[in-house]
Amino acid sequence: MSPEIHQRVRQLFDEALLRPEAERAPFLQTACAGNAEVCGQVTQLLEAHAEAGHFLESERALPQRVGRYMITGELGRGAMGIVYKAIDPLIGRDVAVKVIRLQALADGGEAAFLRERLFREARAAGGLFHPGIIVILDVGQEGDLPFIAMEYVEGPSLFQVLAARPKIDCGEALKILHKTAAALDFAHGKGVVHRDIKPANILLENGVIVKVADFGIAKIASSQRYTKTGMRMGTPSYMSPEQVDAKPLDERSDQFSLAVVAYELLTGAQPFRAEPFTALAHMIVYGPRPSARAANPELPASIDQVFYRGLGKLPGERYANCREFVTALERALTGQVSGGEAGETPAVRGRTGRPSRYILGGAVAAVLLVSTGVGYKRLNSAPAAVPTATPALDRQTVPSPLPPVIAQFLADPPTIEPGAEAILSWKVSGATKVDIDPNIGKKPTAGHVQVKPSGPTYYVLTATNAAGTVFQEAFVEVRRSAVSLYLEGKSKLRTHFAEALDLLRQAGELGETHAMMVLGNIYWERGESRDDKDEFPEAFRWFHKAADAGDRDGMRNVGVFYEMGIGVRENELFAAQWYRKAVDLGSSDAAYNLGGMYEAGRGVPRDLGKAHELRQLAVELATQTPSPDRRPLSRSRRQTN
Amino acid sequence: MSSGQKAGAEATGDLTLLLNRMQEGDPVAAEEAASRVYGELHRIASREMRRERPGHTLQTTALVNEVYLRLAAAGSLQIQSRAHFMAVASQQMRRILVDHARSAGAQRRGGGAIQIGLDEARAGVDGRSLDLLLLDESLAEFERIEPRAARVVELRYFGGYTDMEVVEALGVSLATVRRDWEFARSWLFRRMQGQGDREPPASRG
Repeated sequence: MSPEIHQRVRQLFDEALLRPEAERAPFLQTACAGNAEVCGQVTQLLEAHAEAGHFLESERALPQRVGRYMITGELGRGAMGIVYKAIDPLIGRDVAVKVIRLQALADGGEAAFLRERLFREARAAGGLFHPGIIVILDVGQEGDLPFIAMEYVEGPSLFQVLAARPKIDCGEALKILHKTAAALDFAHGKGVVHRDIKPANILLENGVIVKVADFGIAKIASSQRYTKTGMRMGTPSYMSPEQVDAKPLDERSDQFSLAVVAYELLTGAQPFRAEPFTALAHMIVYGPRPSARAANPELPASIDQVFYRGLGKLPGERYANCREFVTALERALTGQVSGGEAGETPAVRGRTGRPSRYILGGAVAAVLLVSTGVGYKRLNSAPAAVPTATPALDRQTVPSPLPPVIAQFLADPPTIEPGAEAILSWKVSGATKVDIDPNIGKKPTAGHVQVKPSGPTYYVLTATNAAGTVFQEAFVEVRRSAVSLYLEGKSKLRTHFAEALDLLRQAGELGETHAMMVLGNIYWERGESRDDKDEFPEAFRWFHKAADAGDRDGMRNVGVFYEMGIGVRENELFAAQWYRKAVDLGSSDAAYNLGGMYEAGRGVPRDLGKAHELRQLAVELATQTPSPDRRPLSRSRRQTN
Repeated sequence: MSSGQKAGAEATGDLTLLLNRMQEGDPVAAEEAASRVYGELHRIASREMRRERPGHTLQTTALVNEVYLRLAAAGSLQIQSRAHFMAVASQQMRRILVDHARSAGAQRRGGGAIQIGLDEARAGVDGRSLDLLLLDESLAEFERIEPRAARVVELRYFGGYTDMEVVEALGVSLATVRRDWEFARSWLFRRMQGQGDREPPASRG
């Protein structure tokens, strides 16, 4: 088939699919204009389409029934599973049945534990009876899969509404927000936090009555390792800063998410948008709050104050409850109707007025590093109180004591030589060497670099040319005592792997655990990806060094290496001992692995009770949000030495 | 002595660099990136198999995600490269699955055969398993006429990515992704059904 014919076939196929089935044949007859080959091809493909059913779809044929519910269709699929439409044969009414994927990584005792937890959460959420909340009717289990049966609401969801028309009428938006707020406040009064407020979970029954779906279920999902590795990958657009940062949540997190939804309803755009998604996460935690008015000039100026509070970085900055937020919003909006423009736009762009750049921060790391080899820890916990009107980036908390790396850097700041390329090399202990592209911003003739603290773990690096013009800004993140440097924005980031490796080795030899872990991972990865066993002993050496220095993940990895005989002679006894040490420091993975050793009687006497206990502990350790006092390894202690 | 380590160090670079170079059209970088992602997928698959009961089927989606997280965490992947990574990972997942299907039952690396399957949800139709080799072959043919739609299939079917993620990976609109998907499904279905001597993807009625 010639490309031209194929193109035509493709075009007609696409167009025909948009039409109801009955209209397709007549449409083709006219559209093909006598071209029998094209017509035949399209017809065949349409037939194939009709026959293909769920071919290649993330779905095998619909299950006949789940529990006692007879499945009649699929409503959607999300991070946690698939939602079916079903009929409850006992009552003859429609229900929605959500089948939850727990099986991915769960095994035996762990699965049972997770299931129990799911049911407990569902029962808590099931106790919420409110006209604005989707009622949970039943929980059960079909084969390996737990499910939740819920009240069926026709929809559409607010997500679908927004997809159809991005900006909706102010009055309508307020109506939706009021109802959502009422439902949320009700649940909060019962001690249930939603955790996943987003347009897809706000359903409009018959386009009018608002129902909030999936109460508390996000919590169940987040308790699984599977969701941690997989589903957190979803966009954090509606997450609160504390949620992105994996800190404990309360109802004020829902208020934040509601403010994000409100912003989107009123402006047609999401308040935090950045590529890639980790930059987005960082923006939510540290970035300035955007002006809704800038996004939609028709809004009154006073709206920005409401969003400024509603989107507060710290829970304490926000409104006390959701209704208070929506009421404030309404007040601002009705002000516009009556013609008055009260209030002044707060300085939403941050104090300096310069556009801020973002880097991948610790917050993101907390989201990403959950079950990986590289440890993560903040040097200090966030300051207890921050002035309400201060954007988070301007936090003036200076880490104490000043990390040696930074001190050294400040003592001997790099200079920028005149020339085509300004090179900032991070000599002390960074993992990355960065070239600053001089073509961004003003071209420097010569300049200097300054570093100043900008938060508990962040430093702002400013490169200034001779004329005093800032031509490059970067954020420096201090993790443990190693420094990672990222440049963001339009600047070209070039990393030099070999040099970075060299710097890392220096840092590792100097006793930096973070560098040791990174090195261990690099060699391990190399060995695996090239099937070069010679790399493994080096990986093992670095992990062992980290473990000796008290790094929990290092201990776990040494355990894994001993258990599997990677880079070292297999030794189950040592494996179990290292796992034990890591478990004592709260390593979930080590508990999981040690459980396996007890189960098999390898390195330890076979003990199914202990195995079960450890598996449960693993789940608990993985699910609990580490509190600051639980999280530290011995690092902070050693640092003061 | 580790052969090729010195020469390899520079060439390996970090994955971000490779992915960036790949995007700029550097074929060597593309190959290197692919081989690293393949290695990582394969390694994690092997490791998981040691943990799991025999006969357990790994979930491709979880696998691909884990590789991504690992690389991102090890610092060898700037997140900017997520979109490229998704493309490479899906391609390599396809390779792994197809290789596996080809050598089904073969013992590999001295251990038990690694079993990787698509999420059970993404099997064929009517609970029948899909002929992966035939799909691969058909997809290769389809690729020549509809390269972008073939990418969509790779990302969705082999990578386990959602429509929205495919949008992110390919930088096209959601509507385009959906149209590509429907067309690709229909085309592949017809092509695979046309292989009368081999097992058709589904028999209805």
